[in-house]
Amino acid sequence: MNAQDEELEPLSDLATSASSAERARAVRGGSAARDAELERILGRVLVTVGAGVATTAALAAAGGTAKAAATAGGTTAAGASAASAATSALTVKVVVGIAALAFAAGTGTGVVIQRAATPPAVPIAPAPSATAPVPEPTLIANSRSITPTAPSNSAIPTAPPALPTALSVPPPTAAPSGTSADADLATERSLIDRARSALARGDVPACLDATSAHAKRFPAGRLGEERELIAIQALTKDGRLAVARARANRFRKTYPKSMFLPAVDRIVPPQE
Amino acid sequence: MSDALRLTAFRAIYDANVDYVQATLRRLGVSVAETEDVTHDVFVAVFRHLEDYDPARPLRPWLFGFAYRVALDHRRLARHRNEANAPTDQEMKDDAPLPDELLEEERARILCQRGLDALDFDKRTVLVMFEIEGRSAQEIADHFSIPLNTAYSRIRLARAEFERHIRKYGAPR
Repeated sequence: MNAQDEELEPLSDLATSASSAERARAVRGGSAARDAELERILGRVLVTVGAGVATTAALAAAGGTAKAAATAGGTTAAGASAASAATSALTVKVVVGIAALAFAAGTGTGVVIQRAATPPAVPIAPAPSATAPVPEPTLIANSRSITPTAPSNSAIPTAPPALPTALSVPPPTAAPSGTSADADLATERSLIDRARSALARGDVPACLDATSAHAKRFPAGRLGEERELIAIQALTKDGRLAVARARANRFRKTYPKSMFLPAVDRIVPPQE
Repeated sequence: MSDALRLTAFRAIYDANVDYVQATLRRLGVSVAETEDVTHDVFVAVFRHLEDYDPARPLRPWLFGFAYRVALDHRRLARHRNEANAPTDQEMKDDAPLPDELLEEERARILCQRGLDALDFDKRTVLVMFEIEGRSAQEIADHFSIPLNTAYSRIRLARAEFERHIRKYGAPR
């Protein structure tokens, strides 16, 4: 605490209530849609940073393990801080400790990302489904990365001056040949996005309309896994549990190595 | 750190902090629609710099540094991209009065978001750090590599402007 802190005028009541409301911002946690969103982002990150097959497989295995560690005991550091809104002091050391425990206990179940089966020559960006027979377009992820010029006023002692960040322009879908594959993927993407946003606002019928439209138009589409995940969520949300379960079972058969499998299992736990 | 442990550590950091990172990005002005892409970029950077983390220090301020840098880059890019565009939905909505039926809490939160939206990026960052994250003036000085006194004057300016903007919207009912 610095003496100058006392010289700062207190904020008005209005500003105080506004900033404390923001501080207490509720996370839309716990919903299946949110879980799926987080899985999807994580999957994209892993794919972007994954250098090759071995890494990707290890990443996926590590993911399964960490999840096991985080969920095994509600009191592990990871679980506790996930639940806590307070600033977390979780350290890598703690995390590594958890990881070591998890490995020792053999709880890692090794979810393998489907993509591992097809070694990417270039690190690829996030089209979540990689099972399609269609040759996957090489999305330019890392070539989009630039090293931004470091503004001199923003040095962060513990962070490096220039972070290589993949810029977040919509990924340019550069198919090796021609544009029809691009156009198809874009159409697929827009159908899937429509389904997802319908689900997010709770409009199950519109969501299922979009997933059926996708299934009809792209029976072997590249975003089939994602479509199925969304449909399973929608059906569950609608209370059509038997249908959801059947569809989840079919998903497990069709995409046994899908990176969405943990998400599906969370929505519809597999029956023994 | 072996690869596997590194990945596990990353996974645990992600699970425990992705909500925080996304809230931070929103506070720093990343739109809802772009939050997913920007979150991706933040965690890619985090992954690549995992070794730089000093376990003696709290994790979230470290993550904030990444969120800040990526949001800043994103902002430059977005401005570039949108130069010729009409105002976004968000901007147009900002002129509308807040609906009365909103819950008090939600209303206050939207007010805060609008107040933040009216600030330039530096002031916005200062306000988020000081008022929302409860960081000290010294941390703000370190973040921007500026003298402590300068940090205090930035805090004053940011607060004054924030106050002015939210008064516009937040007249008591």
